Amino acid sequence: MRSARFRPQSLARHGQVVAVVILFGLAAVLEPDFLTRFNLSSIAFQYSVIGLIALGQFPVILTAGIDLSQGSVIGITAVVTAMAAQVMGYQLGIVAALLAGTASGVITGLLVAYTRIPAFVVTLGMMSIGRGLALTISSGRPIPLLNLSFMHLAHLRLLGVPASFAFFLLCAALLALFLTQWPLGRAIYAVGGHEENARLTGLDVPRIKICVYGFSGLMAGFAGVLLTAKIGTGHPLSGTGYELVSISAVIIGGASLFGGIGRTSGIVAGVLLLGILDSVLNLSGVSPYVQGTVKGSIVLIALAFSQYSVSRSARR
Amino acid sequence: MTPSSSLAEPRRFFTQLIVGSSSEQKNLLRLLAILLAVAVIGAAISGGVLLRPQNLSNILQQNAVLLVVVTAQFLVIVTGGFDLSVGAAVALASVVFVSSLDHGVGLAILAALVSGLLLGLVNGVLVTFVRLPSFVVTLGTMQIGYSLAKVWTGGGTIDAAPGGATIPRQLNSFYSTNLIGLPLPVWVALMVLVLVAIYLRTSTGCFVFAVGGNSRAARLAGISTSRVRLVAYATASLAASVAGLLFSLRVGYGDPQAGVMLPLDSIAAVSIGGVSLTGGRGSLIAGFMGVLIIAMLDNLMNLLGVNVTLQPVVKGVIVILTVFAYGLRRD
Amino acid sequence: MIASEGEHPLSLQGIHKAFGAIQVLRDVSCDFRAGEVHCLMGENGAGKSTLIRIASGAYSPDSGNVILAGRPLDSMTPRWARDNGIATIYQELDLIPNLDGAENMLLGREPRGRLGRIDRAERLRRARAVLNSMHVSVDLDRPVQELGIAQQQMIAIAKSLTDECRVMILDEPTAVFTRTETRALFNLVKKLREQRIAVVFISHHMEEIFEIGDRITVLRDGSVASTGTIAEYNHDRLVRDMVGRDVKRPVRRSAQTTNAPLLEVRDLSDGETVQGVSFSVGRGEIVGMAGLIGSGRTETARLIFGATRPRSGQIVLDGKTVSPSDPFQAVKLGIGMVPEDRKRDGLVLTRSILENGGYTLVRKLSHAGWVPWRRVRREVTDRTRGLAVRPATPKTLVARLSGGNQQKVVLSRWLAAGVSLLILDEPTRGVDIGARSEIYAVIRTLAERGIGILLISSDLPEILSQSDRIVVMAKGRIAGELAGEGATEEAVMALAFRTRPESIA
Repeated sequence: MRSARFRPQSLARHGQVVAVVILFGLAAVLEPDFLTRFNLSSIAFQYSVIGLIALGQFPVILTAGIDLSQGSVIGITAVVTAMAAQVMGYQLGIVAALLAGTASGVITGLLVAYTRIPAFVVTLGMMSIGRGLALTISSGRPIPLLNLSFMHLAHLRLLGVPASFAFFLLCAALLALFLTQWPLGRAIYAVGGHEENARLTGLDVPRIKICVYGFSGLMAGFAGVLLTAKIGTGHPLSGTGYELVSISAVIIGGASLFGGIGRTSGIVAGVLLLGILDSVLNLSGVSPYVQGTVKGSIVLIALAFSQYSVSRSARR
Repeated sequence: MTPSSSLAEPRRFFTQLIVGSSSEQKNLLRLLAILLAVAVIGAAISGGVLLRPQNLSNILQQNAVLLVVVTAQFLVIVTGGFDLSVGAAVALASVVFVSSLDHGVGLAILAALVSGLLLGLVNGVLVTFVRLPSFVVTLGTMQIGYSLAKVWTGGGTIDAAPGGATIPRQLNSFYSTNLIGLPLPVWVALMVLVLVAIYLRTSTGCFVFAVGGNSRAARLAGISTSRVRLVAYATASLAASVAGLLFSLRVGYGDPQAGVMLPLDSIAAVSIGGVSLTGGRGSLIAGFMGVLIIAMLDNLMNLLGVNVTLQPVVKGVIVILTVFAYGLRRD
Repeated sequence: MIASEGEHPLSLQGIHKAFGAIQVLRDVSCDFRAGEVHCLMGENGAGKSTLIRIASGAYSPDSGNVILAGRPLDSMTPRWARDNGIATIYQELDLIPNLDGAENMLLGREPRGRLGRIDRAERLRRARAVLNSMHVSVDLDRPVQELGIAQQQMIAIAKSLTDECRVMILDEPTAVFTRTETRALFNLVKKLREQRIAVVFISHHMEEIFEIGDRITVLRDGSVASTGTIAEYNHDRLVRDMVGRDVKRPVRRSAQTTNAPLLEVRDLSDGETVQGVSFSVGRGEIVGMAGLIGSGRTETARLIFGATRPRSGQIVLDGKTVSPSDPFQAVKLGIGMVPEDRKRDGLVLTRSILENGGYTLVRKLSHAGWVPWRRVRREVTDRTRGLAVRPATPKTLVARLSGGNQQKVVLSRWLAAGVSLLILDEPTRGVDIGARSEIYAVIRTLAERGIGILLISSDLPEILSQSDRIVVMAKGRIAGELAGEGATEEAVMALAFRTRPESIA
């Protein structure tokens, strides 16, 4: 049995969480506007959307897969929410959107599980198909929402925290519990750790794959609903490029693209890191054009550093 | 499955140049059959429009940028990696080129190529020496590349910046000038293709396949795997920067947001060409044919007036179906 | 010999199996009885692994029957075999590296608590109960990839014991074990025997067979050479049945007496498996390196080839101290290596014979990147023709070749490179007899040309017949050197086992 290339080790285990705390502290001290209610809630909303799809992406990556279709599924669900809400009220609209998201995830999962097409190609195809469908259903136009109570959802607060963010944290907590304490959760880690041995042990690998991709679709559905509520229209181009952001968050959160490694707390930390970084760069007046360079560099340097420390500890 | 002995006989120089093992030759024949089928059926339902020389030449012209990017992507995929930064290399080269036109066309081209080379070297160093997965590295450099391009132009597109240059008139007509029946950009794309094909026949090129197929074995055969990878990534981005030049000449300005879809489109084309995404096999000409198949289908859908929004759906289905068919074949 | 049906938990009858053109098993029949330890013996490549893979459902036989508790089976899958009480512990363990021991043992069959949640306390309790019954203690809190290989093996065995198990197949379980670990395993096997479980035991260590076995089946070239109770065998008969020749000594190479030194290794260590190894190889000399699996032979070879870096010690090549930090440099210095694991380390399976055989030539002949492909092709064809690679066109993918032909392609790579030292690590493992003699011929030709050869092999007749001199490794050190008349199978084995003399029968 060969050991995986990335090893979890005690120091790096909570590295992301430590980094979030430090970065948050620094931001609070150095940037007076950072701790304002307005700033915090705007990061909170934007990054709860990204957080939700990162939570969806995470189990997929745990199985050594990847889901490039998340952004397009957001597009579909945004359109479906708005259209269904016009016809049958926003509650059923939400249900329809979640169903649509899950369904497209399950289709992706079926293809990944039962054909030999690499997940990368399947989800690349689904990305194209999903966006095309979103544009076709909506005739390429944003669909107005005309429902104030739905739009109110995006601004709802629970104990002063934006409801969307509370929802993200709730989902994260549930996912964390599920992945560590439920058989299917451990099976997901097992598939990513060694798919062939998982099969030989008798795990139903295809079913597990369908579940993770279905879940990814469901989370994209939530993201689509939230985005629609926020901007007040179901936009077929919603979520374009989000899949790459969610993958970044998952990787920064310490998951390995080779599967089997990563913790939910790390993923939450990865999302928060991106959010805080974004906010600090905005507040300190860094030109939006430069921000990409700063963010990209910081991410690469951080990963390079963690790779360096992992390979050092592996050598020891 | 033993290859028939007739395939072992010496072939002409150009087949030798581009084509690899006998299974790859079979794949090419299959692709050729698909291409012909698309062409014939397409010609039938479009009333012959599809195959008119002018239309074919248009298809090639419109896809010259993609063709060059696919060549770049192929090089990286063969090493067993992905290059998501090809689009950023295009954008960067395009703005560097247009904004340096003041200093002369030659220098502007050189500057654009250097920008690509640098991006590729960063990719190569991070993949090779820091050992980060290529997907992650190029995801990061994609962001950095686009950001630098925006910093360069101040965010918008760049054509006649104050003190900057416009595309000179002789370059303006570059895209539409024909040479021996084909537009100049197509010749440039084919030139890049042939250069990379020749490159793949050099010693480093041969080693690129080895590293992608089994880097442990390649190392133990005495191949310097790090150097091979580094050069592959650098060359790929260099090629992508040529695509950036073509892009600018086509639209007439430098665009820091150019080519956002190129990474995934190029991977799709390479997949349709039957090139294994796990590396170590495939032929460049298969990637080229992958582009042609997508391009013809695109064109056909336009000719038939298929709703623009439905086209990505069709494209996605085709990507999945063809790769599915390749999976069946390996049984 | 075939007992009445229903008596045995598992019987194999008339099993035939071929891979491509190579017939691996011919009419093999075997009964595994309850409460017996049945040892499968045979040289490398005799068909033991294939047989147990058939017994455990991983392969299906071309013809013949697998009979489980009296019921003949048409087809069997690994899952089905497991569910029906056949547990197999392969050398490649079926564990999930990133999960801990308790998780691995009960994966997919976790005890559930409320809402289907895993009852972790119960899981740990059950895991510990099984391990306690085995009298071993294993760290259950860490991912198994962080554990030693022996501990992993214990977890793999414990995992199969959590099922109802009637047949336990152990494929060379002791290869990587220390003495204490082997002792623990033997106690466990004895316990299984008391529980009326049929144990199938594969080992290359004869003293182990005589200690633990009840019945022996010897395979030779894919057929049953002999079978019987342990009392019917002694060491000599076992060797004779395995090798298939009695007193006839393999043809020995006439020893070269004057060899100018080419390679000298002094006190080489990697801090783990290799601990202060010193030996030398002369020009035109074939030095055999024997030793048990895990004795540090391969690791020593990798150090010389620059594939891993030594912690201390000196490598002197041609009178100059060298320290290749990478195989790339080792090749420059004139060192070549044919690695042990052909598919993992030797070949690029996605590429052709031409390329795989030509990597060194391409490097040697190219000028500024330009490769004279015509010449490379000619030379590779010439050299692979000398090796009779069949069916061969230079563009055939190496993945399509048989093991022997693949090995010839790897070997041809170094023929072309102009090396002065060639390290061969198990060059004939999984290679059929015909190809073997061709490979031996090539090795001799190379030696006659003045190339120094370091031949690592677990195949004693091979080592004895091909080498001028033999160094034996044990536990990371050189246990001794043998040459001339003193080099006998017994002498080599005695040295190889030197660290555990008390266990020699």
